[in-house]
Amino acid sequence: MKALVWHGKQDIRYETMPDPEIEDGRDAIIKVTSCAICGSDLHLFHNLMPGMKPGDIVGHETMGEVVEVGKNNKALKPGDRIVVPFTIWCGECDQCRRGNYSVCERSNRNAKVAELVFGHATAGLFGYTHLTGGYSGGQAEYLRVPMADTTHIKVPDHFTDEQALFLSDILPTGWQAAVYCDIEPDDTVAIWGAGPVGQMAIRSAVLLGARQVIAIDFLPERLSMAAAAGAVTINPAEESVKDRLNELTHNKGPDKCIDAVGMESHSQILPEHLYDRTKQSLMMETDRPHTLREAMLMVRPGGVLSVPGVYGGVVDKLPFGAAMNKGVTIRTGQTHVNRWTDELIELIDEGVLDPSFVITHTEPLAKGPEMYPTFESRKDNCIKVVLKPGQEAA
Amino acid sequence: MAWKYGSDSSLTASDALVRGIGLFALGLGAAELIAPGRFARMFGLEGKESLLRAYGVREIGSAIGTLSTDPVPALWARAAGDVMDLATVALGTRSDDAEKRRNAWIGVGAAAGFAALDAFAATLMAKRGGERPAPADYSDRSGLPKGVEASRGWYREKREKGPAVASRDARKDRAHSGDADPARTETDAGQAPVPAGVSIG
Repeated sequence: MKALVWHGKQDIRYETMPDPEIEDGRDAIIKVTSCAICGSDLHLFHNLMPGMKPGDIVGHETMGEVVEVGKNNKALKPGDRIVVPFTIWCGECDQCRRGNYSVCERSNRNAKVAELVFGHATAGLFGYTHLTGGYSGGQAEYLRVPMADTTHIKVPDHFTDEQALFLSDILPTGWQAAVYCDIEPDDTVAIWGAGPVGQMAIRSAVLLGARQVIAIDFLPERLSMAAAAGAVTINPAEESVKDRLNELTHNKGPDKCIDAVGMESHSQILPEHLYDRTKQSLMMETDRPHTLREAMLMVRPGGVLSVPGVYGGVVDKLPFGAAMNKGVTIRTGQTHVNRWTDELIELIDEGVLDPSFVITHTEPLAKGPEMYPTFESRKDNCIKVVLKPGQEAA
Repeated sequence: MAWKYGSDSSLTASDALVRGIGLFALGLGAAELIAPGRFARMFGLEGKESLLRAYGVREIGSAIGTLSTDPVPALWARAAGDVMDLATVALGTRSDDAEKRRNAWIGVGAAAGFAALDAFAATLMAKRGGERPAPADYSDRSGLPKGVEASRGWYREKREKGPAVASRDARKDRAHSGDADPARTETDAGQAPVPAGVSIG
């Protein structure tokens, strides 16, 4: 089969790989019909996440048709159309029973390595480093889904791929980020990063009743998409984030803040940016936490800071004193995808939310190596790329 | 494994060029820092060892930037640094020693060449991923088909009026009853029981 394969920093190749096979009775093999490039794939592209190996198939936003199931998998049959959640979960361990699927205690087959880095292991993820199991990803023609009797979302027949695909990651990630904010009707919610997850968080905050939603990003095209959902926009290149947030909140600060940027944030304060760039390049810190710093300082006392943005390791110069003294509640984590599936399907089914709005580029899988730098550099007004394995490259 | 360039790989020839420049700069900087006397003797710059050492630090700094994910500023900084190198090495062209004069002229040529190469690489990398067009207007992409104001609080209101999602409540009931791992039905496949106390919406 053909797949997008990681070979090192900024080196993703479209290559022939062995077809996946059933390895366990709970497995399923799907023929991928649609997959997407996620913002967190760029952390792999930049070789900032530890634990990748040349030859790893990338991708964790995937859907397709079941073509084969393991002998113990009674939940699926060939022909079923499923979305694959990016977190692999067993459904049987203590964490899965609590609904904490992204920290499933059994799905990470490299748990010992993960424990060295994270203290305790988290769930296995598709196409996302050997710290999270080293499972092959879904930017491919076929995908083996481990623990597939639980790790799947059946797609209503009348949903298009474009409506359903983002149930795999960015839609529940944005939703979880907003849910974690415990939004009240009078709340102002400030969201750093108007990329795909930020866009979903904006819509989620609106649906959960926030009075005012503010989107912060450098890119005008992203801000126009944020404004389409009623967000007030701030471009840090044009105005002070601090001054504008204070102006919009009568100097109280946003009640709820969401960091949808993560480990590769940019600061307008040049010394801060150079400091983080240098430390990251020298491997003295893995992540650039400018957004986290700014959100900790800006959030209203007693407020909530929700962090769906991906961080990989260690950061420094966090104003944790501000967070502690203001009594800020910090909630974070990889997304417990299936915890939110029912309500998100309901929102789509009722015609309240159409996640396909975020797609700006649809290309054959073979063009993946070209689309990574396009998405990375945010050129061609690219916000979200969907790849189609079944399509021929022009 | 052979490196491939072209349409099958996202790694372009310009990426490889920049990586080569970064690694070369790292090596040159380390050499200037560790053995400035050797460079001074080679180019007729005796007495300027401290300056050469400072250039080594600058070279390593620019190498870090060049090997980062956004090398363009570092490449332009390198081009400017190459001009400084050129001016410094040019001092050696007035040396009384013919071999040192010759080395200095070679150094001047090399610095000019590197300046051109760095500027060329910076220009290439600035174009990576294609030209940036005028920002698109995505203001018609709300993703909220009922409209923004009709959608504001839609989920909250629905939940307050009654059970938002039947299957979710069914799962809660099962969790309360202690049946935490039920046989999954067709509609519940892919869902696990959510116990009491888990915040949903």
